[in-house]
Amino acid sequence: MKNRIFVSVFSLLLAALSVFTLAMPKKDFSDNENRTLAKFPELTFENVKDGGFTLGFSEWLSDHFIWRDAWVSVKAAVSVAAGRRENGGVYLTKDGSFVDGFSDEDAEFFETNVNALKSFCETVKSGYNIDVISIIAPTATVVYEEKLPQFAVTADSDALFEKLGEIPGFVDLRSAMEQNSGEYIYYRTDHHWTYKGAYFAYEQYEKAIGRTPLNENVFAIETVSDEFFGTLYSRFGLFMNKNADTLCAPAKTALGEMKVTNSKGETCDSIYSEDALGKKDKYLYFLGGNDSLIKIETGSATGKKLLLIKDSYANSFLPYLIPDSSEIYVVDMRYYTGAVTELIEEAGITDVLVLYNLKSFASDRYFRFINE
Amino acid sequence: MVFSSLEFLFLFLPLVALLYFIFPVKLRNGLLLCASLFFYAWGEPVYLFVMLGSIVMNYVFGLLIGKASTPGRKKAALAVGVAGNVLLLGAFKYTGFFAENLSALTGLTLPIKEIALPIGISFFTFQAMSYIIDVYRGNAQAQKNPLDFGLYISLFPQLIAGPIVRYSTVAGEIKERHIDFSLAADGIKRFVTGLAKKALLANSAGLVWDTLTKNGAETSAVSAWTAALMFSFQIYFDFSGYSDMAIGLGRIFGFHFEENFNYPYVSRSVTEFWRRWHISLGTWFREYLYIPLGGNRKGTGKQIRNILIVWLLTGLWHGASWNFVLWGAYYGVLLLLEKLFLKKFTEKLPVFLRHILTLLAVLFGWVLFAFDDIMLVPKFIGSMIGLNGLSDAYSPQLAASNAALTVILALASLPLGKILSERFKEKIGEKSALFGIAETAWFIILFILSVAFIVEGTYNPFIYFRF
Repeated sequence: MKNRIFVSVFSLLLAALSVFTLAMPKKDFSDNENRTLAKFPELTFENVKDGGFTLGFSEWLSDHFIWRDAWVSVKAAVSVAAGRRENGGVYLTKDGSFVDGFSDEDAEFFETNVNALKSFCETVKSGYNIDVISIIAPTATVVYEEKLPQFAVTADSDALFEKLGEIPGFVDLRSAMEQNSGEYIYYRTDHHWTYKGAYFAYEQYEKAIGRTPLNENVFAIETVSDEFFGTLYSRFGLFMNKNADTLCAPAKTALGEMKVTNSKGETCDSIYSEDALGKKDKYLYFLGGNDSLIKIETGSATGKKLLLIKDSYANSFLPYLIPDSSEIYVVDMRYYTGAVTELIEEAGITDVLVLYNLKSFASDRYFRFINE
Repeated sequence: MVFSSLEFLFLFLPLVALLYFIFPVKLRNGLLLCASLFFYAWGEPVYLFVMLGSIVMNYVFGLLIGKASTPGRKKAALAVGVAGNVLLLGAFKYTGFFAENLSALTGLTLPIKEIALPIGISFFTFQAMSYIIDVYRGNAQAQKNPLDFGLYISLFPQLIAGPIVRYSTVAGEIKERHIDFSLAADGIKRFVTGLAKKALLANSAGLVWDTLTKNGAETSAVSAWTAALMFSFQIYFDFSGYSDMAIGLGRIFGFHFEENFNYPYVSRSVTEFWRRWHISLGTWFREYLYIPLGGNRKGTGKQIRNILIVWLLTGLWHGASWNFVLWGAYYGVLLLLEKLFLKKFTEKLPVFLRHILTLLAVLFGWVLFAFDDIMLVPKFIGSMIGLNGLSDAYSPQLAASNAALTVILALASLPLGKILSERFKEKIGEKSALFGIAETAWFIILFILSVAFIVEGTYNPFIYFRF
C-alpha cells in the first residue's frame, strides 16, 4: 500500500509537470530574466544528423519549462541558504538590495581608456579651445562597499580614482555620493543610479563649469513607475524578492518643448519613451535606450551646444541638462562610428562632457575610438 | 540523452514507463529496445550505427562460439570476437592517441584525424566482451533472439556510463522479469537519490573546480587544495549518482544490476578503496583479464606482472591520454606496495590516520586524473605545496561561500544518511504512516530541488561520458 502511494505520487508529479509544460502557452520573452527565450528548433535532416536539433530542443524545453521563474528562484534561494551571496556576478547585500560586482577582471580597458581620454582632452583643448569635463561616476559597489557581503572581492576603486584624477577636467563625485549615501541614490534591483543620484551628479557638474545648479523643485520630479525590477534582479534570479524599485524622473512639462532626432533621422518631442513603461526594463524610459547619435534641440536660449559622450548612466542624467543647453549631441561610443572631432567641428560644439560609470568606463572596449 | 535533463525526466521517462506498464509482457522487450535506440540516437544520431554494428558482430560471434563443434574452433571464434571488439574500441578511442605518439616517436607526420568518441563505447564494448567470454566459458547460453541480445547491449539505463553489467547477471531477467510496486518504489528512490547527487552535489562541486582551474594550474595553496577536494567530490557524486540512477531505472523496469559504489571515501586503504569504487569495472578486469592471466596463483613475479597489466589497461580504459595511463600505473604500484610491504606497517596505525592517508592517496590520484594535459600536473602539485603562495585575495571569499557546500559534500559521501534512516525506521517502525510521509516528503524535496538546478543549470557535464 505504502509503495503504491509512493509510486503514484511520483508518477502524478512527473505527469503533471510534463503535461503542463506541453500544454501551457509559450512566451517569446522572459521579463524576469530580461532575455529572448529559445525558439523550437528546425526539424531538418542536417539539423538532426549533426545533433543541432536535440541541442536546440533541450534549450527550448528548459526555456519554456512550466513555472520556469519559480524553479530559477528556488535554485537562487538554495544557493543563498547555502551561504552564497553572489550569483551571476551580482551581490545580494544584507538589506536585500542587489549590487553589481566589480572586480579587476572588469577593469581590463581602464588604463587604455584613461590614456584615450587624456589625449582626447588635449586634442579638443588645442584644436577647439574647449575644456572637456569628465565624470566617471562611482557605482554602488564603490559607495556601498561596506554593505557588500563579507570577503567580496572588488577592484581597488581608490587606486582607480587616483588615476582618474590625472585627467584634466575630471569631476570626482565620490564625496557627494558618500555624503548622500543614506538617500535613495542607486536602484536596489538595477545597476543604474536613480533620479536622485543623477541630480547630485548634476549639482557637481554645474559647480565644475562655474554655474549654479537649479533647485530640484524646478524639475518637478514625478514617479513614472513603482514596479521597476532591474537587470541585477534578473541576473541574480531570486524572483520571489519583491523589493521593487521606484522610477522617478523630471516631469516632461518642466523640461519645456524640444525636438529629439535619433540616428535614423526620426524625430519626436520628448527624451522619454512611454513605451518602455510597459516593458520589463523600465530604465529604457530614458531616451528609449542607447543610440549612436541623438540630437536634442531644447527650448533654452543659453546658446550652449553640448557634446555628451556617454554610457547609459547619462540617460537619466540628461533631463537635468535640458535647461542648461540649447543643443545636445548625445554620442554612444559603442555604436558611433564617425570621428568625434568632425562632429565637434560640424555642429559648432561649445562644451564637451564625458559621462560614464566606473565599471563601464573600465570595461568598455570601444571608448578608445574617441580619438579616431 | 542524459538522465539529468528535462527531456529525459519529463518526456522520455514518463512515456516509456507508461507504455511499458500497459504493453503486454511479450512486447515489452521490443519497446525497451526501441526506446534504448532512440535514447542513444538522441545524443549520437550517427554513431547509432556503430552501436548497431557492435550488436550484430557480437550476436554472430555469440552464436558461432555457442555452436562451435571443437574446442579449437570455439577458441578461434572467441579470439576473433575479442579482437573485433578491441579493434572497434581502438579505432574510435585510441587512433588519434597512437598516431600522435607514433609521430612523436618516429618523427613521421602521420595524418591524424580527430575522431569524436561515440558515447558509452567503452561501456558497451566491455559488456559485449563479457557476453562472448561468458558464452565461451559456458556460464551463459548464446542468445538466439537478436532483439533480446540488442536489448542487453543497448538497455538505456546502463548504456552510457555503466554499471558494466555482465551478461550472466541479467540473462535471466532479459527473458523473464517481475515488476511490482515495491520494486518500482525502490527504483524511484534510488533514481532520485542519484539525480540529487548529480544535479545538486556534483555540479556544484564541479563549478568550483572549473572556476578555480580555468586560468591554469598555478594558483595559491588554498585554491589548489579546494580545487582538488572539489574535483574528488564531483567525480564521486557524478559517477555514483549516475550509477544510482541506472540501478534505480533498472528496478523500475524489473532489472537488478549489481552495485557499483559502496561509499569509497570511507576506505582505510587503497585496496579497500578499489573494492568500493567502480566495482563493476574492477570485477570485469578481475574476471576477464586478471584471473585468465593467472592472477596470484603463479607466484609473486607473475602476480606483479598481472597487476601492472590490469592497472595500465584500467588507466587507458578511462581515456586515450597519458595522464590516464599514469593514473592507472600509480594505482598499480600503490596496490602492489600495499599488498607486499605497506600493509604490515599501516595496519598498526590508528584508524583515523589510515583514513587520512588513503584519502590523500586518492586525492593525489584525482589530480593525475583531472588534467588531460599531463604537463599541468607538476605545476598543480607545486601550487598545492605552496610554491605560488599559501593564499590569495580570493581565499576568504572562497572559504566563506563554499564552507556549507563542503560540509554537505563531506557528509553526503559518508553512509550517514543510510544509518540515520535505518535508526529512524527502527524507532518509529517502517510500516507507520509517519515514516511513509517523511520518506515521501524527503524524496519529493530532493526531486524538486534537483529539477530546479537542472532547469537553471547551464553547467551539467557527465565526467564519465568521455570514457
